[in-house]
Amino acid sequence: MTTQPRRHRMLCTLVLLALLAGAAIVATPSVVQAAETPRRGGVLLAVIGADPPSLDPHQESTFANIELVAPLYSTCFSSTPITTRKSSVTWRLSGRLRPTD
Amino acid sequence: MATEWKIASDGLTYTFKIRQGIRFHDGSALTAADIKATYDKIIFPPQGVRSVRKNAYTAVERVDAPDPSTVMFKLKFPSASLLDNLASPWNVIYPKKYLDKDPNYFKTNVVGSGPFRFKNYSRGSTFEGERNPDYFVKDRPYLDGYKFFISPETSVRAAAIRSGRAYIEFRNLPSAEVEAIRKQLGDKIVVQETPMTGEWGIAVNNVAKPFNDVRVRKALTLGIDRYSMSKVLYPLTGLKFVGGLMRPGSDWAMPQAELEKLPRFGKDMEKNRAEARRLLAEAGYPNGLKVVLKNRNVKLPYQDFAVFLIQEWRKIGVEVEHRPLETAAWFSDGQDTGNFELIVAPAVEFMDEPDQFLGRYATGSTQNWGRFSDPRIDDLFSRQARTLDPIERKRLIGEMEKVVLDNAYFMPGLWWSRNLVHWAKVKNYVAPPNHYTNQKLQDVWLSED
Repeated sequence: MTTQPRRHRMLCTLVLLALLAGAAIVATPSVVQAAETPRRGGVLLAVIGADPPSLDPHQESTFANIELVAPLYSTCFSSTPITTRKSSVTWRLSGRLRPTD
Repeated sequence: MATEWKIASDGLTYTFKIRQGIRFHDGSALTAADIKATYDKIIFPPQGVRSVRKNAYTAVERVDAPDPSTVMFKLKFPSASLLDNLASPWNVIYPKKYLDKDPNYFKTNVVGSGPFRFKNYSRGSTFEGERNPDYFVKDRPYLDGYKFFISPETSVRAAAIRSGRAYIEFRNLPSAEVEAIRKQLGDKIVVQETPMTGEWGIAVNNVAKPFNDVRVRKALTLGIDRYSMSKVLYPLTGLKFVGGLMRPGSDWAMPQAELEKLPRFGKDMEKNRAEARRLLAEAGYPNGLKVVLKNRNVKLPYQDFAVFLIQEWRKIGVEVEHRPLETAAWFSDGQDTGNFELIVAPAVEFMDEPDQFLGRYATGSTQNWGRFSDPRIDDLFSRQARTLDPIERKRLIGEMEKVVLDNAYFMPGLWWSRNLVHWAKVKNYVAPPNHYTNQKLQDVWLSED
């Protein structure tokens, strides 16, 4: 029981860091894309290596499910991608959470 | 769709406010009741319903929806990872009314609320979605639709990119193909290379002969030269990094120096192979043995990975019959039923998050392909999940890794890297270090057709 206050502080700190870092990361893509105005229309043509075993992502763990059906659904939250570099394999988890749009 | 959240000071209640006015594709309103029904299915699946990632939510005692715009998660203990795990791209929200009738309804049907509506699926050929004009995010999506062409052959997918029949391959292409495409198409192509939160390994059937004998399991994992494998397979497949059960370079990974002290990660392969042969002889196989390796019929990286393994195991007297299966059969006649001796088994998750990666080694997990049960692992998994101090948590994770690896319950192969190739006219797609996140396509647009 004596560790509870410390745990609470740590949890709050983690959440705060997540929020702050998330705000910084969300701002990045808008800077990168500022020079281009999005164009509407067109069909994105993609290629994929397998059929889905089923269409239910809760029951599957393959790209062959999620790549195909993710655009059809919403989630409560999403994780925000961070651009990673070839030379780096360090990738922090904290700060990748933000409410969806 | 969550607009804000609050965590109680004791860390045991998470309260989320849900955006109002969202409609499913059948026209019905999405409310907190749908989110509760969805998460009940994920965390407390009814009999006969698989939930692949439920071990990531062991902290959750119950989910409540006190009103249409509020969802509450009540926890049994404070969790270091709950927010990360709630951000799972796999946790798509379903309408409650369909789940009430049949919790397996969405294995063959789609009723979402996403930026695109289901249009058509032709098995072995194409999968299509079309723009949802009622999507709750204003002015999205930009695209009229998306269409996937399906082919298990890497060369066919690469050719589709080269010819412009397809604009993007989200998962991966081997660097040799990428270089050929880049040479041909120059600045019409963009390549995004990232690390990958995924590892290819081998699941071992721990409950049947010959792999219920730890000596046989140890022999096979000792017989794999992972350092040579990386050199050979990287240009062909992107398989690259030698590591344990958490991604090398991530915060939770076992340090490389520590990893190399484990016998099967040592670099002296003559010594490793001699020990492997000794263990096989001691287990009653002085002249080696014959085994069947099941696999998925997807070439990248499954087939090349298996070819390398087969060559390696031949050096210790193990003859392998390679049996590739179509994706659905690889699950139904492999993972789901335990009907295998050895099977190629990836461990890919959407974040470097211990609950996600390590839940598969706990007793009874649907992702515990090898069907092993070790109370030390169950205890360490449970303890790390409730440890908020990251240093102590990492120590527990390291202990757990050693139990899994020392007993060769699962054989790690290599961690992947990702080459995402797309035409430059595909805009606003940033590749994360896996192909599970950022797949909604709501912000993606085409600068030309």
